[in-house]
Amino acid sequence: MVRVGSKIRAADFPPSKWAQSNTEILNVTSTSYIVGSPTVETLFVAPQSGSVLLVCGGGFRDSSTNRISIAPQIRAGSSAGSIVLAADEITRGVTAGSVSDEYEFYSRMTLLTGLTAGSTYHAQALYKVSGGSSADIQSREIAVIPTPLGGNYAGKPVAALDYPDTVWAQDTTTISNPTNTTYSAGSPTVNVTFIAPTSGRVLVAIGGSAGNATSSDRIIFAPELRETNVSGTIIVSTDVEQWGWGSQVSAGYVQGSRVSMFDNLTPGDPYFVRHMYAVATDPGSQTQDINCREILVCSVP
Amino acid sequence: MVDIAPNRLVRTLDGHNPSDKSTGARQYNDLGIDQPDWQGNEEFNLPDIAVQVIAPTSGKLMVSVGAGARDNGTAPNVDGFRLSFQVKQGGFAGSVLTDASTFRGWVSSRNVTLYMFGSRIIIIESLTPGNLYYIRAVWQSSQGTDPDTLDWQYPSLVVVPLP
Repeated sequence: MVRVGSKIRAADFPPSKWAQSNTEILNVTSTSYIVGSPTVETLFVAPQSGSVLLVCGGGFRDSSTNRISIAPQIRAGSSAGSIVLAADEITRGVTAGSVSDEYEFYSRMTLLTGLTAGSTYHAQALYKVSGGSSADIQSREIAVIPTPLGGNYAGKPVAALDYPDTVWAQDTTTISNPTNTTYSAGSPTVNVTFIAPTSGRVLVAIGGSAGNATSSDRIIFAPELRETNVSGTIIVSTDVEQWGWGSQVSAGYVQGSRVSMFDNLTPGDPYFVRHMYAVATDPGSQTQDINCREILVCSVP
Repeated sequence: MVDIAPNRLVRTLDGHNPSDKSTGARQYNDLGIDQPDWQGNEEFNLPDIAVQVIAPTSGKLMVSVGAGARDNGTAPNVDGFRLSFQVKQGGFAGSVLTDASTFRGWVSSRNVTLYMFGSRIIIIESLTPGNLYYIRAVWQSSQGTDPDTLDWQYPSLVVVPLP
């Protein structure tokens, strides 16, 4: 982290990295993760905070009900290094819905913490399919963005508020067949507290993994922002339309996230944001499940 | 495209110039959008969903586009919603540097009759540090049907300068 009174160093801001391939891959058959051709990979250097935003996504389709997953893998040092983070769609990746016969495109943002500052890592987007031999991929991408992001005007001394830590919470408890049509924080709750930066602006990413039933109501996720703590005044209420994420009517779990910017926060004030979920009032049964929930807050300049 | 290097003073332009966002209306119903045109709010006589941003030293910007979308028409005449963005030099009247593409956009499944929500993050690289860019959200449908029954909600655009 960038501490008050410390000098800003180049090592606080190693470059963001991005790799994408839009080469179409037809008729994927591997049900275990593979790198594919061309590969989608990049090296990056961990910042002083040891934390980076990890974005993985792409575009996928199937004429049947098979589902493509794309997930990030991190290795130490190089493409031959030991695996630091194994590809896993439930916690880090995206998976297509089971009813998309034309390409759909989306991505997921999570936070990877605990990296060794100054060390080089290798990030790569891997993919697999749930079954069959008819699912296709149009795009694969991975981004690694060092944190903290933030800043202030030129000539101003650096203050701690310019670079608050990026924070997130994730829980993989399975919640089977929830029926609440009003928002619930669930159990365990998934929430973080953060200090608003100088800019008053933060990125909020809400996401996870939900679905797993057709002929069912969708499950929707939305962030709730309060002052100070869980009892504080609500600043941003749950609204899936504006800044939430939702499952599809899908035979399998769908993963992804929605990234929004909340602004006009008071610099230096503490805020509390939590992951809330509900079952949409669709004309279906209530048979979908959740197996991952997450919320991420990243200060931006 | 200069990385922040040791022994060089860190400047505001080093990825610390302001980020911004812009969001459209709550609901766009049954609008007859089609390929191959990419249309934004401007084409609907509404304020553009756009941000102006100065490219940082790295020449890199993070762009997030997100929305909710459905097509409650009758299968198989259903459309996916494609939300992308154009990068223009300077302002609205500037030349298009990077045009919209599904490779750089959020696209809903064309088979969802109930809203799906999400976003996609794209990193734009190789911009000229210090130059002003105008980034505007634009959209199209995947196929186009008549009558059009594609609906979408809160198309949003977030742009963050990166180190």
